[in-house]
Amino acid sequence: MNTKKAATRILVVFFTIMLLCTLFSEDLYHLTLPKVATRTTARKVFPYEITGVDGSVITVERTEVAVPSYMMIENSVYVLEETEQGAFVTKRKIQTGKSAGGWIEVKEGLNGRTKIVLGSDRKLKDGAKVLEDEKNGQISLYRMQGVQIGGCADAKYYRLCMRNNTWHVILVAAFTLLLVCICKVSLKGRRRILWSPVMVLWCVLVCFYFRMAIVIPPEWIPEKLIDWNGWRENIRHFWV
Amino acid sequence: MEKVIKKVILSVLAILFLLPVLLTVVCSFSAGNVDTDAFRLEHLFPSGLDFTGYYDLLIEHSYVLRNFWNSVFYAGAITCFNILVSVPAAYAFSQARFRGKELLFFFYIVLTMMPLQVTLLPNYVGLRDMKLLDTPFAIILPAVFTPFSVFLMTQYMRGMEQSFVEAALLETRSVIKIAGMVILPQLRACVFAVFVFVFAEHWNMVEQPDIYLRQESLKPLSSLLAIGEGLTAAEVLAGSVIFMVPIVILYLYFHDSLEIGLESMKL
Repeated sequence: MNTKKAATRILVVFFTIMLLCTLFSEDLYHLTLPKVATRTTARKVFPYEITGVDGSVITVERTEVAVPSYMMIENSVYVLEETEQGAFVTKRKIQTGKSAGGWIEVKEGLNGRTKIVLGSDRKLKDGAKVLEDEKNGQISLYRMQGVQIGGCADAKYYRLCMRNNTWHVILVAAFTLLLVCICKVSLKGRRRILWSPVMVLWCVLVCFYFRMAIVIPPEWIPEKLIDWNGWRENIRHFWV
Repeated sequence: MEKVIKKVILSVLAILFLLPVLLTVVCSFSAGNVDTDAFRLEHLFPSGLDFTGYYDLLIEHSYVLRNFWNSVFYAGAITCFNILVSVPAAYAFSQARFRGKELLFFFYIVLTMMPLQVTLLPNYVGLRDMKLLDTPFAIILPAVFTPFSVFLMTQYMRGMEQSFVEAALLETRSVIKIAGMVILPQLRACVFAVFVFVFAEHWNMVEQPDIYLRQESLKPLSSLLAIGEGLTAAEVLAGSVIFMVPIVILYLYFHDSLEIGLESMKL
């Protein structure tokens, strides 16, 4: 075996190990998770109309607990509860009142200064765990800023959705690249009959990767690997 | 007798140079019993195999893998873009005729001689003004235009047979055609040699990431291993071995071209 052949084999083995370790690493797994946004309930001023005894209408202002409208999913919000076991998401039904300036008044169900969360793909589930950032000991959150678009969120929010989807695409591309490299080096086109079982095995591995509970807990598995509608929406909103 | 003495001296020197590498490799597999603060020759003969360092590095502290891929990305991107920039620049310095060419080339050589620390601050200021600090561009952009590869390629092109270029000039006046059909095919060995040099140089970079990048997730493995923060001795040793592998493979691939290229450059 000449030097270049040996180098090629070492190269493939080395990068296969590195790529597999990377694909199954906790770090990359965190990147594939839906990002979580958080806002805190605040006290906002809402206008109220009071009809006097003489029939005259007086507008008064009352300060009430409110949530940003885009954090609401139907009549519920997800509340972040921090316990010793970690941070968990709890779905809570709330009774709403008036809305003003992108905020909705909460009549019942939430107190002031409660942390409410929203998954970047809006697929948060009751009881889902919110992972903490190991490095600075804080929950990996980002804050949404700006105005609401189409009853959902702002452009920054869509950009984060897009990044989340992109990671899945990168993972599939990396798996395919790995497959092609291994087949090129080990099979070299001479034993073509082996290509099909190798590809089937690889598909199983990819499925295993995306479905196994060790790697992705069931509550975090996206409904579709690549949500094309989500992509279209992302692209549409990205430039807004 | 003289030959034997030479061989003995060279062998001793080779062993001395290889000893740290050998110690790192051996200790990385027996790292559980090794204290890196006190490397001893006896560590070359470990009592048993221990893969704790590799396990911890690749499975437990998997954020190191991100730094490894950062290294691959930075070194790969820098090398590719550097060659893309260097070839036309070297062609201009060696083949084109324009006023001030020699003076410009002199400045290029002066820049090559400059230590890295001299250019760090101006680069930092430039990157800060362009708002590129703490982005991958902060590492890639300044490195793409390093003059060393241009200097090497210019030397190589100047030593090339000019009669081919003159013959091509009879056929066409197009610089791109001459460069593509006459110069580039002869440049293969030199390009590979430059590839190895540039890749190795930027694979090992430590100062630039430490100054231009603040986010740990953007730093290359070289920077992480140099500091070793948050890593045990076993993990640093395992990381060092992993860090060595691509460079060794690169040398195995291109050592023929490297020798030919260096010979032709008269270095």
